[in-house]
Amino acid sequence: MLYRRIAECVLVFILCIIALVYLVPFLWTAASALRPAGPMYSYANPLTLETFIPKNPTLQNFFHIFTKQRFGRAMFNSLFVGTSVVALGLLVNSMAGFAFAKFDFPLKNLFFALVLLTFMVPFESIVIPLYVVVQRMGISNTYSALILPAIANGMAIFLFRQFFADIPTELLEAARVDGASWARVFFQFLLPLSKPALVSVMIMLFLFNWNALFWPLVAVHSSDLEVVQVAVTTHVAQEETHWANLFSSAFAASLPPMLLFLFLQRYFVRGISGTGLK
Amino acid sequence: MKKKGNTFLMLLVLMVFCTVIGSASASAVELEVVWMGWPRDRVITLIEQFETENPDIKVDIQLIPFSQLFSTLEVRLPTGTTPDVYIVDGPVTASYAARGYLLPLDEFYSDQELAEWFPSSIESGSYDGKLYSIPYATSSAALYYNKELFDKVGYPLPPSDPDERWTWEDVATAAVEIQKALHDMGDTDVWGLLIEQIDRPYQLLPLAQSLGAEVIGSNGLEVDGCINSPTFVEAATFYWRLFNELKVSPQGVDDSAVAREYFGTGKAAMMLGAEWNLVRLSKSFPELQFGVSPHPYFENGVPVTPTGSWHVGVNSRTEHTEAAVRFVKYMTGFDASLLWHQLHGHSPARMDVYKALPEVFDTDEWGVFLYEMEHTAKTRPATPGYLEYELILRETFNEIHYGADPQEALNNAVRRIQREFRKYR
Repeated sequence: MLYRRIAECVLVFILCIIALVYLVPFLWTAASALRPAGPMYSYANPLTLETFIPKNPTLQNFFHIFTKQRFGRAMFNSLFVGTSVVALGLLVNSMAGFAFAKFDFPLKNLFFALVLLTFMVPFESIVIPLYVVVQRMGISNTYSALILPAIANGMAIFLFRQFFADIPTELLEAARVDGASWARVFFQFLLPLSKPALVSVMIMLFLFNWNALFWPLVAVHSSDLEVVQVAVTTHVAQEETHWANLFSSAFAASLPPMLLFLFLQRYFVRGISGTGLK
Repeated sequence: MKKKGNTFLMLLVLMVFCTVIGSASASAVELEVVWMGWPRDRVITLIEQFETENPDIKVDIQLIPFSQLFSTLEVRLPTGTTPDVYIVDGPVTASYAARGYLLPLDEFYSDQELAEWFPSSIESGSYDGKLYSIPYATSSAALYYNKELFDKVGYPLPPSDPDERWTWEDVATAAVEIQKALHDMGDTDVWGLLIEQIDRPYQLLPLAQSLGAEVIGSNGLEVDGCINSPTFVEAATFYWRLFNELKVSPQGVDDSAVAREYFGTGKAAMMLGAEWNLVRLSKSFPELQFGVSPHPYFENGVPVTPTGSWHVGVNSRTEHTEAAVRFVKYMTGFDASLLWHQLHGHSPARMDVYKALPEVFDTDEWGVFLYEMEHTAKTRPATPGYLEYELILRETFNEIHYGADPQEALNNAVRRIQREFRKYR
């Protein structure tokens, strides 16, 4: 009993240390975002309490990026792109996952292998052909260039397929026998049962798009379409870095995904563990 | 289900709408420009002035962060007709020109116009006897020193006369002694010497060149016997000693802005750095007492300094050649160069700007940089494979500064660069 207690304490201690390792950079970013503009590294070296708790906290940096730098516009763009991708992505990927899980068709395994391949190939290796396609379609420099290529996602299809495969086929067939069309079985029966998978894919697609930097730089050039990660990097130039703007925009940019995750994490964990990935 | 269908339709309509709006064209020529990710408000000041002077041209400028600039251009240049104009890192001119991405600009410039720029800048913008990119700025490097720290330990200040410049051994000795004295006094977090661009060939090739090492073969596609020659290795070994044996330079400070923060807040006695720090140090650290000494050299060698910077080029496939050339001429002209210096502190590549601003450039500090630009500057190698050359050398210098054996690391770099160069032969 005592041993177990001690083991638990040690475990909690180790977990706290690990949590701290992850939290410290974030706390430092938050503290730096609340500091008046100026040198930043003098606070980090040597490490004191003031490194994490600014003496004269101010919101002026946030005020500056939202009123002078159009950071709000970038936030809107990313939210719009992210929401659109999530809405369309849930529909397309869940249907594909359904097909792979419950139907038999020629070359099914080959197609599924291709789907798996798409998320194993690094994005950099397909960016040139993808850009050519987007350009030929005439949608470069539009929201569509950011939304369309992100909808179909191999990882999402895989997650859905694994989740649906666990749902007994007999259940669905019973509904079919009662006269429901496949569409009805899918939308009224299967999807309501699949909240954990839907939420997992939702968070995944949203985060994936929220963090995108290279593709938005390539695909759109107008400043009206600037997305949030691009807006954050604009504060870093080769010769100088505007620390206050950088930290405040990075902090602001981390809030939406964090809130989303906090609200939905219950489902997220369940979704991932249900696929056999964890 | 019905609701979901409606949302889907609405999104589709919205997307089509966005596409239509995106492709609508205005009556004025619209130039698409890719630019370095400098602060937007400063860049826009120049663009607005250009648009006022040229009401028939609208400029759609995209600012791309330095870390993503080259890869973004690599995707966009081979496909399509845009960007019409783009920023070109001087030594990458050859790479773009060899692949046909740049329009030759000789016919748009008279010899008299070209005489306004430093010859080394024009050389850097040329490839195979043709001019492909027009200099937008230039650069130089020298030794910054913190007067207060030198005085505190009673060490003599580095000289400002180029004829009396310190050798690298002088610098190393000073770094060791000052750092030790400061540590003894309790300032344990102060370093002797910072290298601002810790892994960039720009900053490090001059060390090897000072000893007479060639950094690339005469055909521009051969590095064996150059970057692994005894003299190159000797220079690289000195660089290795700074971090690993003398321990006067901190490992991993690989960002110009962070290096400047160290120096600006008194955490380093000396910094080998570019001229753009002058404005920024005075502005961000008004209390810092610093001086500039000419670029160090090796005792049995000659002084060599880096130079070169950003250029501007026109896409060979542009559909708006006339407007694009007008834009390039404006951005690299006298007025814009002067304004850009005032806004961003870059050293102009045009000599007439220096003459026009004696109150700025007639100082001891600028005197050092101007002397170096005129007498000791050496451009980076002109090779179509510069992007690969730079990337591999950066990784190599990084390894060396973290402790890898210089000779071995450089031999390895030779193998990798030779393999990359094969496609250009």
